[in-house]
Amino acid sequence: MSAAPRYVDTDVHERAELEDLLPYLPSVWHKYITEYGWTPERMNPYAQPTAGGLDRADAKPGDGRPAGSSLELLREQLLDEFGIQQAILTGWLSATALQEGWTEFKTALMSAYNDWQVENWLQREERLYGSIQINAWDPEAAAREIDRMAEHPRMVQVMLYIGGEPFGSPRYHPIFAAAERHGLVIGIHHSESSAPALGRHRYYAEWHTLISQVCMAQAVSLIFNGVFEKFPDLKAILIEGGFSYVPHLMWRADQQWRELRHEVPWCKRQPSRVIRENLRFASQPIEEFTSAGLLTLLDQMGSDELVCLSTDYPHWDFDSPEQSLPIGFPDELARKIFSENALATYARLPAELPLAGGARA
Amino acid sequence: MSSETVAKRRLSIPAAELGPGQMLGLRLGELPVVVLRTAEGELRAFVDRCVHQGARLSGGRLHGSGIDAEEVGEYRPLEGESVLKCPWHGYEYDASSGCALFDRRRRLRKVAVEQVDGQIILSA
Repeated sequence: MSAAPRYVDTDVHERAELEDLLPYLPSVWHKYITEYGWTPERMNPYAQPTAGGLDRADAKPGDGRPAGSSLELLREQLLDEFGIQQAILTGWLSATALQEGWTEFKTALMSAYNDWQVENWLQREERLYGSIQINAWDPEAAAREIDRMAEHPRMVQVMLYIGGEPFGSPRYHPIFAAAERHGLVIGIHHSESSAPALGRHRYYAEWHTLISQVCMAQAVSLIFNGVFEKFPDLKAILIEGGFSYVPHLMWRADQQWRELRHEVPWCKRQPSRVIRENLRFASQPIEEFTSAGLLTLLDQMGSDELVCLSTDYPHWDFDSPEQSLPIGFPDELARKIFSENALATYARLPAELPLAGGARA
Repeated sequence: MSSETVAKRRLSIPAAELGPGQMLGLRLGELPVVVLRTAEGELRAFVDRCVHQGARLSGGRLHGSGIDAEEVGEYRPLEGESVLKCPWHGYEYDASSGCALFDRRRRLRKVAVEQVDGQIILSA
């Protein structure tokens, strides 16, 4: 590629420690963290047996705080290192992925998280864009939180972290309505609470291999429950599950739709068409493709506009923007994956970059 | 590193700066290099780029032993076989040969290294 490509990174994880959120959380809730020790539950029985656990071994700030907690290091290792002009924060803490219960506390915690995100990340670095974190177990309150945070111009997405619930259920419609109303993308992301089809297998390698299962499960739920028929302008992106499963999903869902559409008569469009019109896929974790292999996969997807670059910084399976696409992959298609597809997906993400300041023109 | 002396494609550091089980990321001219001493004391140097996505391996881990098994459920340490592990996706290399443990045809590029008179000398 002759000139430096424009990169839009659709998956960057900023990280708070719970104590960081206290200044943004009503005081009535403080003691549950400071005195009673509430922490998000951990569901997986395994360690993450990588060089740095959850995170890149080289992305820890060195002061004892977790990777993703330092804006300065994120600038150095991601934004500046690769010349990424726009990056979308996708968060760390999501009540949606946790078990249901104690809704009041968790809804308040998500509001605190959003305010923390704005003040500590979006206001300090204009190359960063935000995702609204919600507690989807309380859809009405989640919709109010979306309305509140949508007033911030650099919020571009609403995150739905996957726990054990398929998101196609009508109970979640207030969330989709609010997102569509504000032109926000729905970002769907797996979590430790996401068990694959047969539950938690014996090894982390199995769990991580099967992440694509929960991505497919959510896509199927949204499609066959008619979410995109009711909210036709809504876009959702499946994040951190890769995209090599998409042709299988399209072929399989189309066949079921042809055979069983009387059961779901509200589904007017063929599922593969719904996917091409309403769903997008973040690239990471990308497999080691050959150029010919990746071109075949995109051809099978029937569109080169569905995959958006994501690095997943600072997690251990970070994909380098410079190295994740195979050698010999056509520049024109790389540009689509690197930036054009994301810009066409995220209605609130500016296509024009500011000429001065932190962002680069 | 103040104690380095750099010439064109040649670099030396005091041997005392690299003990068993330790590694350092350096630059030999423009070339990123990881120099390491295995738990057994072998001195090795490789181009400091993972064969997968180019991460600097010197930011990863140097383990003093690998793990092997013949049976499901067995975790058998391979003493004396140091493993260099990428900081990103965890690709593992035999720290002596530079070969990836999952496919020995994929290997790190070696960089010449020797210890002379208390100095580790790298050249390329």
